[in-house]
Amino acid sequence: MNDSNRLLGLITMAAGAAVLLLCRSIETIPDTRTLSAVFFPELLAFLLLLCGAGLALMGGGKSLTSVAAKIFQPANFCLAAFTLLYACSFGFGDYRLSTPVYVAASMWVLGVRNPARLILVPVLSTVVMYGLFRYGFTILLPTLF
Amino acid sequence: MELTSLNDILAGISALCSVEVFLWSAIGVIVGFIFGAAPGLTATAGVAIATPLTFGVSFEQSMSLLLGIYCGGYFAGSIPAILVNTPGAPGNAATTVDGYPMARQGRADLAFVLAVIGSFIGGVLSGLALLLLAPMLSSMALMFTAVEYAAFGIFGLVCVAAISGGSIMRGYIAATMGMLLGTVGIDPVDGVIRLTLDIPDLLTGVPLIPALIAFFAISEMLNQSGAGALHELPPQSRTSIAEAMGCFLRRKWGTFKSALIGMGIGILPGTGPTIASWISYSEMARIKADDEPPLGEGAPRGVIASEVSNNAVTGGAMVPLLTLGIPGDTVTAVLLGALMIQNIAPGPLFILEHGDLFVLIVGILMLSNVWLLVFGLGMRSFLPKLLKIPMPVLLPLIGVFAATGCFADGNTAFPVLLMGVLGVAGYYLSCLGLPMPPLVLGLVLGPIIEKNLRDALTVHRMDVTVFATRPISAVILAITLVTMALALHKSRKKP
Repeated sequence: MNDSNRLLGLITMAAGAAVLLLCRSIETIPDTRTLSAVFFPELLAFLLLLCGAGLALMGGGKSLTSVAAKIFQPANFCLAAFTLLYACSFGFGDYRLSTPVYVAASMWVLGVRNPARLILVPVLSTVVMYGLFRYGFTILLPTLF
Repeated sequence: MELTSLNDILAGISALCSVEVFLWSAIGVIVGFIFGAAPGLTATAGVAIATPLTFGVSFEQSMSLLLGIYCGGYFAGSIPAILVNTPGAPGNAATTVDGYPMARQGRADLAFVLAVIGSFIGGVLSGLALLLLAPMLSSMALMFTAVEYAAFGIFGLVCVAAISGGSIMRGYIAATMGMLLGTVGIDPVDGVIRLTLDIPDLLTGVPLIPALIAFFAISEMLNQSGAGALHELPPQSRTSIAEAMGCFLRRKWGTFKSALIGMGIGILPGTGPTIASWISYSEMARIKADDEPPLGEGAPRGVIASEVSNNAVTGGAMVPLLTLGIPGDTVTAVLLGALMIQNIAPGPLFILEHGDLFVLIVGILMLSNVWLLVFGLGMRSFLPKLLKIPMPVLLPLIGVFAATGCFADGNTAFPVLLMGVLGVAGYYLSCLGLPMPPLVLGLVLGPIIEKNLRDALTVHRMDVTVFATRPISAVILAITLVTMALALHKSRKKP
């Protein structure tokens, strides 16, 4: 399997099958006089299975080696991981701490080595964003103290 | 117009020609720019926040401020859409499809000028329609039932062919995934829980703004970082207004059609700029244009379609508000409250009893669009400075901007988490060739199609022939089928 369409087709089929399974847990109201709540998700899941199978059979697309090289490129992989961690931090962390750490770490993995830039950009961006949202739009960003 | 006397017109114009109206309207447009350009904050939020401030001011001041925010907010979402591939509001999502590629080709200035002038044209044309045709248009809107809404939603899917990035099959898979995301949460008809994976935060469904930010901003941010050497945006060329006007003249019919679509959809209660911009975009795709790149690859007509129609919604949405007392979109729903604060009850007798206020409202809408043009074009000189930020600095800042905007959308952490998960998943799927714009389109249209389809079948006792027997729906569905068949035929002919 050396083409992206085939893999995307298989992922689509798996997603369709998973949704079909999940649809079994959707309650249906007996004697309803319209389409039931499960009709639309089931229809879409079948469409996914069908289109996924079509794409998998058709093949073609990019080579999987080039796709893997892009996804697992260290800077790219780290930025994705940092972004997920940063997104999680909104649930329990302090915006004023997590934001400069995220910006500095991301800049570092993207190749910035200038110490002044690595300190000033994260601090200034945090101050500006926090000030704008907290005092401009009166939105209480997550803080611990 | 027969409902508005000459006296009312003169009284309205006289109220309009005051310094305070000009000033409050200018302030409103600037505030609207800020709310529209910040992802997660929309014109609706801006108008909602400003409405309580209007308790102590006159009708003229109140409407000037709120309508200024309305017009400015609907336009300003195009600024981050063009510069960083992040629509400031859902109504500007279609602008990213061509606006951002234009920035990557060094034509951000042209895209920006097209967005400003397009928004102005859309806003002014819809204001004129409001002034001249309001009573007639509102009676037309009442002819639309769930059958026509469902048909309209299905028609919106025609757009998938234009934004699939080369493969219609992958485009339809993406749209189907988007529609599936739209089914998550409590079913609006039966009230049962669907596909929430036992996550309570998903009971209200997948919120649109975090999903938009995830699929456009986060996915593009990761795409840029994965491009090996980080490509800076190329030096940007300055555009003359004449060049931009040339684009509009070459696409005059497309521009006019986009304005008509925006107005038409604005008139329909419960719709808004998001669906208007996508439908206009798909209509623009049907216009042959050999002198421009294909849509999705930096075509000026893509920006024109989206921006003309989303601002044309403003005048359209005021029609049912003022003539029936029914809001046409979310902002006009808040405006209804603002009118009540001023002891004004919009409805069938509004134009008859308050002709002067009606003329004043239309005038303020027009004035706001003039401010939009003046401030929008004045902002152009700041663009090159923004675009000079190096990518390794800009990408993390986009992440912060996106996450903070998502938090602001619901004031909870869940939308931010959802943005992270959907963004990373969307990026990996886009690496395999799955286009993101159809996914967002599916998420927008899926709930509209499903709810109206089920409502229509309930009302007509499961008689599916109703879609063919009602004339408006039959025509819309026939156009949909023909357009889809043509798109499939075209894609098969491609080597």
